[in-house]
Amino acid sequence: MKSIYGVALRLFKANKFIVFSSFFSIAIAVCLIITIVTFSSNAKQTVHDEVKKLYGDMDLSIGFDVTKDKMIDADLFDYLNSLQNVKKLSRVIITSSEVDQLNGDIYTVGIENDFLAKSRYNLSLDINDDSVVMNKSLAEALNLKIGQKILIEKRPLTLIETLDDLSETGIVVDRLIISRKNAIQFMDSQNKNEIEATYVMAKFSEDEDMLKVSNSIIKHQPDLRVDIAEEDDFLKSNLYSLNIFLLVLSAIVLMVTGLLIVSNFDLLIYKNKNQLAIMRSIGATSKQVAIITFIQSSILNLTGVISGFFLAWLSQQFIHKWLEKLLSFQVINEDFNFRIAFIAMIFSLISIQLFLIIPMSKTAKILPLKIIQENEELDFKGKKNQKKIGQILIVAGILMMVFGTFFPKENIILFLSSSVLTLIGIFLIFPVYLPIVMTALLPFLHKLLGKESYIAIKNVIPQVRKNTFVILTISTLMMIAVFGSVALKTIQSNELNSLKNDFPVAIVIKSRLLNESSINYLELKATTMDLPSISGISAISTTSTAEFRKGDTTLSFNYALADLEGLEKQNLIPQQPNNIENTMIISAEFAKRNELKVGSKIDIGLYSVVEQKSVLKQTAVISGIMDNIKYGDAYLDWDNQEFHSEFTAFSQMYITSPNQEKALSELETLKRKYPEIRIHSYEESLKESLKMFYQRWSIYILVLTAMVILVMAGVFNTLVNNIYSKRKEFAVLRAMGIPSHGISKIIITQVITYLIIGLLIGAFAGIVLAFSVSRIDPTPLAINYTVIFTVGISMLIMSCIIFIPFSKKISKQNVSEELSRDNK
Amino acid sequence: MKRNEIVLEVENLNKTYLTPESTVQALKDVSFKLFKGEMIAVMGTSGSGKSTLLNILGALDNPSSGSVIINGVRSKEMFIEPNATDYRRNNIGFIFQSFNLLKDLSVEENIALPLILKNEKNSDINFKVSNILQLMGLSKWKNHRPVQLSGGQQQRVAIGRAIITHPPIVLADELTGNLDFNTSAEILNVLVDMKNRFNQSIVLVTHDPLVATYADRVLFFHDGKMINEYSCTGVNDIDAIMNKFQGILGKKL
Repeated sequence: MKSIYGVALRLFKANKFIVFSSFFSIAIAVCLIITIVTFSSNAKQTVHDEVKKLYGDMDLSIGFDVTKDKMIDADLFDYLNSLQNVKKLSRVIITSSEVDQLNGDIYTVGIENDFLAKSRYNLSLDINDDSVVMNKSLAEALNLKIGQKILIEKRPLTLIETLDDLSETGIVVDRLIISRKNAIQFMDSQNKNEIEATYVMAKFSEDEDMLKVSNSIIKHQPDLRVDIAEEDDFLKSNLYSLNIFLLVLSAIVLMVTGLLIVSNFDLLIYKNKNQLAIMRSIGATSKQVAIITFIQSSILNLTGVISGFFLAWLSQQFIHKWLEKLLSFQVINEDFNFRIAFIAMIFSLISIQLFLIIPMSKTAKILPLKIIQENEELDFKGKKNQKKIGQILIVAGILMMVFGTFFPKENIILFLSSSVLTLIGIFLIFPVYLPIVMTALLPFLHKLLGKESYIAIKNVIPQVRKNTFVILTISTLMMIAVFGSVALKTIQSNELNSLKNDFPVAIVIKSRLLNESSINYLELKATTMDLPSISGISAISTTSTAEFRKGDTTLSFNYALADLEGLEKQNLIPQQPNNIENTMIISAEFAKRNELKVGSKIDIGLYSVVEQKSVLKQTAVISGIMDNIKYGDAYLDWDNQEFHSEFTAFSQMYITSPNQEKALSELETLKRKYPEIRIHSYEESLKESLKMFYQRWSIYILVLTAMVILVMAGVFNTLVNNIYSKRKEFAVLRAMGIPSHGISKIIITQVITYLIIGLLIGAFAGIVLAFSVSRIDPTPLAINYTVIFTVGISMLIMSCIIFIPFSKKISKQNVSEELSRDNK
Repeated sequence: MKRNEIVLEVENLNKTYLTPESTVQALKDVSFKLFKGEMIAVMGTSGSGKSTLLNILGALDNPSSGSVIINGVRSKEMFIEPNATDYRRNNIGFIFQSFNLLKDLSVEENIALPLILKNEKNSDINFKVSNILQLMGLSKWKNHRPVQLSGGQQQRVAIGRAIITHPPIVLADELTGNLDFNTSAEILNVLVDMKNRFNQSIVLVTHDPLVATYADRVLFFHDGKMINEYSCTGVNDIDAIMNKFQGILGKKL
């Protein structure tokens, strides 16, 4: 120990429990964070890999439906080649060819030797006119090894590679992969020379919009089928929001761990304060003393973080499988992503070290021994400033919330700032005002709880400031419990309401291209009606702006075209008159605003850019008033040609069916002709929404539980040490006549008081935060009392389990020995 | 005692404490000199200003007026941090009444601490510590922690820690306050031995006339003022010291 480093370690070694609990907290927290982050990265990779497995490197595959028995010819291929931003096209022939040995035909794919074909069919070697690739079980059946020849269509080809067997339905499909040239030759067709491909794989530049491209291809040749290589929509959006959720949780874990470590270090400093003050009085500089704390904190942080890293790596196999189950998210790639884990580790190291600047700066302020004794009382100045700043922040926070209510444009920033400022203000002023509140409550508590509890709380009051970090840690945990559960529950409840709104019927088909959709609704309707399971169809267009005459003025309103007949049949709108072409359904709010009722007539038209004025087209009759029209102020019938503007496009279609499952399956076929459409079912969406909710809920509860355990360990450790430091005082009380069970009661009361203070402040702070955030998009708050009470009750119960036997032990110590104890 | 160079000179030192309720003048116009190798005892009752004097000499407090000159250097800045810390580290060795050893360090480590704080080389530290342990008769106990030692042994460790850097001045505050009679004598003999061996200058604060007899000179303080001075020769001077002290208090001890 012949250096400051040695002194730091020696002081460390003497406080094994604090060191161990801090190390343990950091290791567990970092392990949790790395596990979450690597799982998230692997999940993303899995989604990417799934797509690659299915499609290889291509962006689109273009071909005719197999039932049409048509092939891509030179003209069509030239057209595809002429498309903007096309980087590569690869022609594929699908046929069957006779394997002489088997005396039968095998499904055959003829490809060009390029990266698209090789990635799609998982080839690692080049293919030429003399080579063949087949699946493993076919090769086994033919007793064929790599390098050996086989006669296909009486032509000898060398087996160069075998592929894994594909089995989508449990039955292995045999396949041969040969060169395109050979495949064409093997085809049983009279127009071989005109055939370019059965289908073409296309690769475009990065920023090309595949939906637009596929639409333009279909426009050019309506009977083509275009498949876009992309992830499943739900999977993609779920993964994105899951990643955000996991990132936020990781940040919260880091924050709570940071506070816990600071609280632990506070305790370490307190225990070493006298020794550090002695060092100051014999010549240690404040820098040297701060370096001691820096060395201790760095060692703890580094060892904890590295241990967390290794723990995550070792447990990866088990935890990932369990996480997959918990989150219902299959991860194919289970390799430990060292790069991501390392980045998470470094980030955690830096974040925790930043938290540890707080105790470091405290040790730098430790005064030499003599002065420290005089200065222990002198903290009035600091208290005043803290109170002022806290009050200013709370007032500022409230003002921002008020402004945010009146200025909706800026309200996100205002409400978020309001919540942050209010919270910081609360945490700054509670150590100042809490003693005042508790002092005021003392007489009442004395009557309610008895003299021992009165003494206990009286002793806690002056300790509140000293134990700020303990209370802050408990509060933060409770705040997370409250806010997290409220946020999740509120989001869930809003999502369910939103779903109900989005699904007036059980199945809704939407266009992904919004205003740029080129779908002909009437054509789509006709195609859809042909499907056997479909009983009802209606549609809404995108909204446009029209004009109407009100008195002497012309005002504008938003309208959408709607298949009123279809909507009426589906009972989505009131009954309509026979002639619906000139009818208009309006919203209740529009009706009230313009004093309209059913049967009213209204002149409507469009604004003419050419004439630079409104041109009234017709007199519409109000045929219905609805409480909520989803899009715009009014619906006009789809057949009303006057109001088909250049901006009018298909938006969504409502489908009713007696057999939803069958209907959904049949509707899938529409995607081939209309790749821009997305089919949504209420039941599926509800199921996915609930699945997403439980995914997040599960991980939230998991993280919260881990945090509760860690916080309890740290907080209880601090409280135990607080109690140990007061043993002499307890002995004095015993000497004055308080029995040992009274001492027990004092200890328990103090512990419960700290916990209740922290829990109440945290609950209040959490509700304030949830309320502020909910003002951004005014929605009712859904408070999850179960989570709040569970966290609070479990902490209180655990504290009783630990502190009741502990307090009994303290209270039964020999009084005279305790009186001669030096608490330093 | 042969007078050597002056290591410490105090000139017209005053210290006033201002509180909302009152003004307390803890030191009034105190002046004296300390010579190399000399031990002076500062004697007085509670509230006489001796602890205040010690705090100022150790730069743990600053005077309201007057000056402290160490090794011929007068500096007002020595009371301002970080100069005060530098001053303590380079010029002062402290011995406290309640020992104030670091409970988590061993005897050897406690003694080595001032050298570590001065960033001395390991080899030098080991050599010096080993010497001091031998001188203090603590070699056998070097790996023990303070709580495992008797009061006398702990105070020896404190002395060892105070003198290991050979500071110009050692300040001892009620050195024997927590020790019994025999142990006190033992400790005082150790202190005198160290003083003679290293030509160490020592300021010893005490209220005990017997302790004062170990010093070369006794300075009597009362009510913040230095009232009298007495040159000691040994334990036989106890009566004279007690008489002088009695005279200050105005009553029989």
